[in-house]
Amino acid sequence: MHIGVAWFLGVSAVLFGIGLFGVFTRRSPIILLLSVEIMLNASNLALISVARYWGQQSGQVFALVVMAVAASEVVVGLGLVVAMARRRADLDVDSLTGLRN
Amino acid sequence: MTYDVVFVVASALAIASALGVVLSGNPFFSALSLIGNLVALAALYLLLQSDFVAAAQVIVYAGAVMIMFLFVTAYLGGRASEPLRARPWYQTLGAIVAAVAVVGELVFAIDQQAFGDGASVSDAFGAPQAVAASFLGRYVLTFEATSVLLLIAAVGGVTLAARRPAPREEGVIGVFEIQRPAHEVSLQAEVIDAETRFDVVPAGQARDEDGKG
Amino acid sequence: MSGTEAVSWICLFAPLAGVVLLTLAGSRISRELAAWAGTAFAFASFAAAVVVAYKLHHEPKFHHHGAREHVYTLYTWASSGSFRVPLDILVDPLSVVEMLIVSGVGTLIVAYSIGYMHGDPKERRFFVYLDLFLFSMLLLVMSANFALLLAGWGLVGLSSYLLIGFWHERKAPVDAAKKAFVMNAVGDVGIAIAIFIMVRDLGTVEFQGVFDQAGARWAQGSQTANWIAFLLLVGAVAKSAQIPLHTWLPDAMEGPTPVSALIHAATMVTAGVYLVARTHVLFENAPDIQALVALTGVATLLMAGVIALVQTDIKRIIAYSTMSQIGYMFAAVGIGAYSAGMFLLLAHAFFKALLFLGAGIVIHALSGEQDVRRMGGLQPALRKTATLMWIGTIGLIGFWPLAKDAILASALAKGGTTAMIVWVGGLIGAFFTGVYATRLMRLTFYGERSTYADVHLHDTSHGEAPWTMFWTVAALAVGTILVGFLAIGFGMKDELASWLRFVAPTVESSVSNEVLTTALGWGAGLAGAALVFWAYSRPERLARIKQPLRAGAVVAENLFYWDVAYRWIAYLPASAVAVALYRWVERWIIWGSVSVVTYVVRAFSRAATDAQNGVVRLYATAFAAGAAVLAAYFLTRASL
Repeated sequence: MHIGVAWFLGVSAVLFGIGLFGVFTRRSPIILLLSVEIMLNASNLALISVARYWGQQSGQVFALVVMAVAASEVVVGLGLVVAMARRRADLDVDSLTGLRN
Repeated sequence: MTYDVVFVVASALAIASALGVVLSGNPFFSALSLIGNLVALAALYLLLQSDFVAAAQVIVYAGAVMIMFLFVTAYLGGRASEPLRARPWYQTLGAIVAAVAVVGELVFAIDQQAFGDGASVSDAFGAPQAVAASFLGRYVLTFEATSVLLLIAAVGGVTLAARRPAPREEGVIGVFEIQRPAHEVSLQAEVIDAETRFDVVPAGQARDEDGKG
Repeated sequence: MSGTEAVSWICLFAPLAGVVLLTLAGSRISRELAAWAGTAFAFASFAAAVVVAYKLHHEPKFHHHGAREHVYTLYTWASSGSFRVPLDILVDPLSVVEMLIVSGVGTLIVAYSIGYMHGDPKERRFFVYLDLFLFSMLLLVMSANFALLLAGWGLVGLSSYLLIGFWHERKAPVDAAKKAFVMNAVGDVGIAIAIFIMVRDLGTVEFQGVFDQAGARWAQGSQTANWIAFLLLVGAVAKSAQIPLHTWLPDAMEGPTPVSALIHAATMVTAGVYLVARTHVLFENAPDIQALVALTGVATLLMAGVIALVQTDIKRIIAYSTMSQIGYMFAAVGIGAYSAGMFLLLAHAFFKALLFLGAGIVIHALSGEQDVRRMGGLQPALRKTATLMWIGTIGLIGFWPLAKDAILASALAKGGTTAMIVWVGGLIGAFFTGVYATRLMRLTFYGERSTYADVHLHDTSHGEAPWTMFWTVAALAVGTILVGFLAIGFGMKDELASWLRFVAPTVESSVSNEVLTTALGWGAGLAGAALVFWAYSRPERLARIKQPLRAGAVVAENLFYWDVAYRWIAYLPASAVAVALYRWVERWIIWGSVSVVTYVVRAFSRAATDAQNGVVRLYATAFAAGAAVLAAYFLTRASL
């Protein structure tokens, strides 16, 4: 059995689903951010495997860009978490219901 | 053969650590699991001849970014852990259904696609030189945009996490007279007015006030 | 615009001008001024009618079709393709007679009201209503097409409603007004449907066009011809208080007495007769229905005559006598004696208005008492009124204006089953008329004066009534006498019949027929009158006569159970249906559907509100689920 690009993509899909599930179910903002990281990495895996498949450098470049975006997202997300921690005792994304109004 | 073994082991490790991130109640453990996940992914990248990306993944991502997570988690201490509150059953169910549906559909889509063997590439593929050539050649604009994004994120992070100054107040500070802008005041007046006009009272209470209830 | 045309329009619109001006003036003018102004507008109309009659009279008599017949068009009211409804009036001998009656008798009664309504808080409004009625009635009799006729027909119904219910502070007038309005509406519907058929088959509602084409379009006695005539008859019956739509008329006596005289004796209630005479072409095209007209008339005249025998309210006695007299008119137009019917209509307008207004003076003198049993012996106090009312009674019984006899003579001359029923029924009715008319006079003016009358009789040393009331009654008495000379019969001059020859012909009768009929009619009337004086002179005689008739009297006192029948046939089923609709349809289906709608909306909005809980994760879940659904759709549809 040859391990083709389809297998890498399959692993990427499973990781993406796990991240999605985490985003849907976890209420701690930190774990939420970690779940988002999983999803981003799943997409990175897909990008890189497809880059290899086509023999194109672009996929790797995009993967690196996604890493940078992930780093930015982590910075902003953690900044928000810290700000929340300063203002509220409760670190629960479900208590952030300002969108209701 | 080695290739297959490495793939299976690395994939299993990635999935297991991802599940650890999502299912663990302790954020500290979650963060550590994510590091494992990132390393396993780096192994997969290596299988895909993306040497530079794999290295960047381990050094920048699993190293620097995750350290930041750990710092914040440590800063928050116990408060970082999952709040103890029952979540509605339909939310869990919906999450499972949605996630399974997405994964199923992705797998289905991949399965439908007939992939060939893939292009044959030289050893230079994925080497730092090649990546740098792409970055500074064809994708230089993207590169610059990314650096600007990182800068903005750094500034935003500092602004968000920094302590707020005391709320601005009206009055005289030194020789400067400080007052709210006129439009702000009028907006506030409008809001107050609207609140009095659209007084939302439950039907039963309204009758009582009329004395007819 | 010729002189006749202008004057005709003045005749029609003068009362309307009165309505508008008096309404606009409102309380800015005094009550007296309003009353006199209302009378003046009515009189202007009468003067115009006289001028029109004079001018028409001087036109050549025996010319071709179209002589003495003018259609004046003001403008086209409605126009749709070839179908037009103009606002046009027809001035011909028949409508001129009606114009003279309406405006002439109308003016006298409006003038009478000046005294009668004096001091009433709503005096101004009363005169506005009276002028409105005069306009409506003139519109009815002057219109040259069926649509305008129906407009006038409905407007007189409206003004009748307003005037019957004039004293709306009391319940009885309001009920009576509603009853009259509803029953008249039945007739309006009949005429409206007849008009629809005309538009469908003939494409016109103009009298001339309809009458010219009717015979060719609808075969004589065909179903459509019968329906047209029958539907017009329904309208006529409702307006003229004939069986079976007659029960509103006695109740309408709740209105002020001038109203009873004007609307419910002289003008409006005879509109049905006018309608049949005007559309006699259509009725002759449907002989069965025309016979039905005659039989309806006979049945009504007998029934109303019997009921009048037992009534005790002075106005109701006169009301039933009106019904009975209109029965004669229906019988006349039903056998084709149109001008004879119109003659009775004309004479009746005078003597019945006279009787009503005389009764009004009596009621006025007795502080509003209307029960004849509480009168009696008023002749010495109301000498002039009694004399004038005797003239009216003589007219009613049929001694002088020989109207009834002309009808019955025509019936005898015509022959046939229907005509003979009319003849026999009419003579029997003449006896009843003699009885109830004389009974009214006997109970009111003669015999022993009741204690009530003694106590309540006004001081009459200054005259029996205000002069405005009195001279109008006197004028009506003179009119009653003079109108008799218009058609004497017996081969002598018959001005009215020759005047109406081309628009409302009559059945020529022989002198011997007339002599026979008149002798019998006079005999019957005299017998009735004599019987009353003979019976009422001694109570035991009266009791002896009444004894065998008790069963009949009960039926008569219950008005032949018409109201009971309507209660069971119309009112109770209708109210049962209404209650059932309310209980089941309204409560369960209407309210139920409303509740279901509110429940569903509320449930949806509650669900939507719950969904808007601000939990972003839930939003994301929903978003992903939606994306999954879409992806599933594309995966199954698209070939990858």
